[in-house]
Amino acid sequence: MKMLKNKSGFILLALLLTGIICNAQDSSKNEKKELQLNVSYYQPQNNIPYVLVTTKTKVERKFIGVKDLKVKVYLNAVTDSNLIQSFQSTKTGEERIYISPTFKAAWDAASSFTFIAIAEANKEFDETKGEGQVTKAKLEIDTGRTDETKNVIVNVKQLQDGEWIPAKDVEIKIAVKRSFGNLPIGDQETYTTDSTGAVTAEFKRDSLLGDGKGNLVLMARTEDNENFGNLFTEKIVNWGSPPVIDNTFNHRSLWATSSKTPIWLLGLAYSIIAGVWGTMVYLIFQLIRIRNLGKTVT
Amino acid sequence: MENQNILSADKVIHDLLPQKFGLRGKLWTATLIIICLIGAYAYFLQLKNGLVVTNMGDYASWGIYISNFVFFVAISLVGSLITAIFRLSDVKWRTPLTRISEMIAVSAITFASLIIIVDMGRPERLVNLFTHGRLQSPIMWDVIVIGTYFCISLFLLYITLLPDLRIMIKAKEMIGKPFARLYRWLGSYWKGTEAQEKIRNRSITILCIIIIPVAFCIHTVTSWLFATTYRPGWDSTNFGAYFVSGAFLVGAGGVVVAMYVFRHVYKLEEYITEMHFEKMGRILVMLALLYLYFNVNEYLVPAFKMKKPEEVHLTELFTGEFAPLFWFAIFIGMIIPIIIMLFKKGRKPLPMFIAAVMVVIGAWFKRYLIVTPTLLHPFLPKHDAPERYSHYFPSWQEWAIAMGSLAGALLIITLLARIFPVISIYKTLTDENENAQK
Repeated sequence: MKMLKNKSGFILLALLLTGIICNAQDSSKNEKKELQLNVSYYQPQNNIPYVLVTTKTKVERKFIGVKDLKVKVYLNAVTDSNLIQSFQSTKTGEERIYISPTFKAAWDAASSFTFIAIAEANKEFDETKGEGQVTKAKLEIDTGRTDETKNVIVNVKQLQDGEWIPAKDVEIKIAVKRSFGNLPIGDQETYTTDSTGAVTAEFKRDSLLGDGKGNLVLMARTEDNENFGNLFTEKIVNWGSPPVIDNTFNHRSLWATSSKTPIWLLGLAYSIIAGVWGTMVYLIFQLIRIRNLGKTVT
Repeated sequence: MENQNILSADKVIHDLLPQKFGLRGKLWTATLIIICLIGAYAYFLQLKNGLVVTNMGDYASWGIYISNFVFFVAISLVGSLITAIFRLSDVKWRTPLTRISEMIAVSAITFASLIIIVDMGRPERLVNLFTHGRLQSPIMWDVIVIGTYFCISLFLLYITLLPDLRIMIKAKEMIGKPFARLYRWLGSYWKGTEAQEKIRNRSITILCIIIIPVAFCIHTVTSWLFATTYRPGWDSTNFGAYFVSGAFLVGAGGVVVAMYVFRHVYKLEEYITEMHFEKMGRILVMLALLYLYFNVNEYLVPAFKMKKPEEVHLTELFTGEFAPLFWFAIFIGMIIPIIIMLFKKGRKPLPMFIAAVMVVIGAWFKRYLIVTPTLLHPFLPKHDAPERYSHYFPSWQEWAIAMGSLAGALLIITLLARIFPVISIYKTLTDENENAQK
C-alpha cells in the first residue's frame, strides 16, 4: 500500500514535469530570432554604384545568411514610388541591388541619400528595418615621384551643392592587388586625408613581382565609411619586376619525359647495356664457333 | 671431393642420368600442375573482371604479387652465388650444386618476370613500357636487368649442359627415347674436342664474371623500386645491400632444400654428401648473420630515432598488427636457423633441410613485410578513406595466383630435373678422374 502511494506520487510528479517541459517548449517556439538587416553602399571605380543588402542572424556565435525572406529596398522614403527593388533572400543572405535608371532624376538632383531596406515578418523573424545613409563621393588615384621615392596620391572628393569639394579626415586603404589578397604599399594599414582631401603614401614595395610586363595594380578604397560607404578605385603602374620564369619543364631531367632523359643517364645506362649485351653477343658467336667446330669433326 | 671412393664412369653415368618419375614424382608433378591450373583460373578471373578481384586498394597498391616478385628475384641470385662465385674462387666441392642452382635461378627469374605482368592488371600495356619507356624510371631499369639476367642464366645453364647432352645422346638406350630428339637438337654439335672445350670454358668464365654484377644490379634495382619512393620503411640508403644480402640467404636456403630433396629422391648420397651440407651450412650461417646485421640496421636505427612519420609503421611491425608476422620472419627466417646450423649436428642433412625450409618460408614473409605495411602507412594523412583501405589481406584469387606461381617455379625445376641431369655428369667424371690421378 505504501509502495502504491509512493508510485502515485512519482506519476503525479512526472505529469507535472511533462507539463512544465511542454510549456517551456511552446514558449521557445514563439520566441523569434533577431535579424540583422544591413545596407551597404558600394561604388567601384567611380562607376555604377550598387547597394548590398545582407540578411543575417546569429547562430552559435556565428552570423549565417537567412534565406527566403521577402525584402524591399527604398530610396529615401518608404513609398511605392521609391521602391528600388524587392527580392527574396538566398541562403548566402546577400543581395546586390542596382539603382534603376528610373531614379536618374532623383539621383542627379541630390548629393545625399538614404537607402531603406524592410524585411517582412515571417515565422522566424519579426519585421525588420535597415538603413544606410550615403553622400556621393569619388576616389581618384594618381602616382608621382620625389627623387627616388615612388608616391601614390589619392584624392577624395564629395558632392556638395552640386560641386565636388575635398573630403577631409577620410580613412583610406592603399594597397597592391595580389592573387590572394591586397598588400599594403607601406608600413601603414590606413591613411587619412588632409584638409585638401588628399593622401600621399610612399610606395615601399620595391622589386615586387608584377605581371609579364612588370605591371602592378594599385588600389585605394574606403571601407564602410559612415558618410561615403565603400568606394574603390585602381590604377595600373609599371613599378613591379617582370617574372623571370625558370622553366625547366622541357629540360633534360630525371622527371622529364623519355625524350628528355639526362645525357649522363643515357650514357651510363647505354654503356652498361652495351657492355653486358656486347659480351652476350660475343658469347653467342663463341657458341656458333663451337657449333662450327663440331660440324668439322666426324 | 672428400669421399675418396673413386666411382666408375659407368656408375656415375647410370646414377646421374635423368630418371623416370615414380609414383611419388608423378603425384608431385600432378599436384603442381593442379595448383598452377587453379592459379591460371584465378588469373583468368582477374583478367576478366580486373584487379577489383584482388584486395589491393588505393594504399596497398602493391600486395602479395610484388612480395612474390621480390621473393623470386631474391631466390634467383643463387645461380650467380653457386656457379659464378664458387667457380671464380675455385671451390672444388661445388660440382653437385651448380646445376641445381642454375635450374633454380632460371625458374625463379622466369616467374619473377611473369608475376610482375600479373600485377599489371592490363598485361597488354606491357608493350607501352617498350614504346614509351622512360630510362629515368627504376621500373625500366628493373625490366632491362631482369631480361638480361634471364638470358644470362639460361645461357649459363645451356652452355654447362653441352657435354652432358653428348653423354645423354650416347646413352639413349639407358634413358629411353622421349627426350632423345631434344638432346640431339640442343647438343648434337658438341663433340668434346679440345678446341670446343677451350671455348666453352672461356665462355663460362666470362659468363660467371658478368653474371655477378648483373645479379647485384637486379637486386639493387629491385630494392630501388622501393628506396627511391619516399615512404616510411623504404626511405633508406641501406636498401641495396639489405636486398642483396637477403637474396644470397634465401638463394642458398633454396639450394639446400633442393639438394636434400634431390639427394633423397634420386638416391644421390654418394654425390651430394654430408660434407656438402656441412659446407653449405657454414655459408648459410654466415649469410643469415649478414642479413640479420642488415635487419638490425634497417629497423633498430630508425626505431632509436623514432621519427614521427616512421613511428606508426615501426610500432605496427614491432607490437602492432604485423608483429606476429614480423617476429616470425626474424626468428624463423634467421635466428632459429642460425642457432640450428651453428652446431655441427645441425649441419647434417635433415637439420639443414629443416633450417633451410625455415629460411625460405621466413624470407617469403619478410618480402611481404617489406612491401605491405609501408604502403598502409603513407606519410600523407589519409582523408575520407574507407576503413578497409587501412588493412590488407589478399583475396583468394591473389593467393591462388601467388601459390600458382610458386608451384610453377617448382614445376619448371621438376621438369628440368626430369629432362636434364641435376648434377653435371661430365664435371663429376672430370672430378673423379682428377681424384683417381691423385
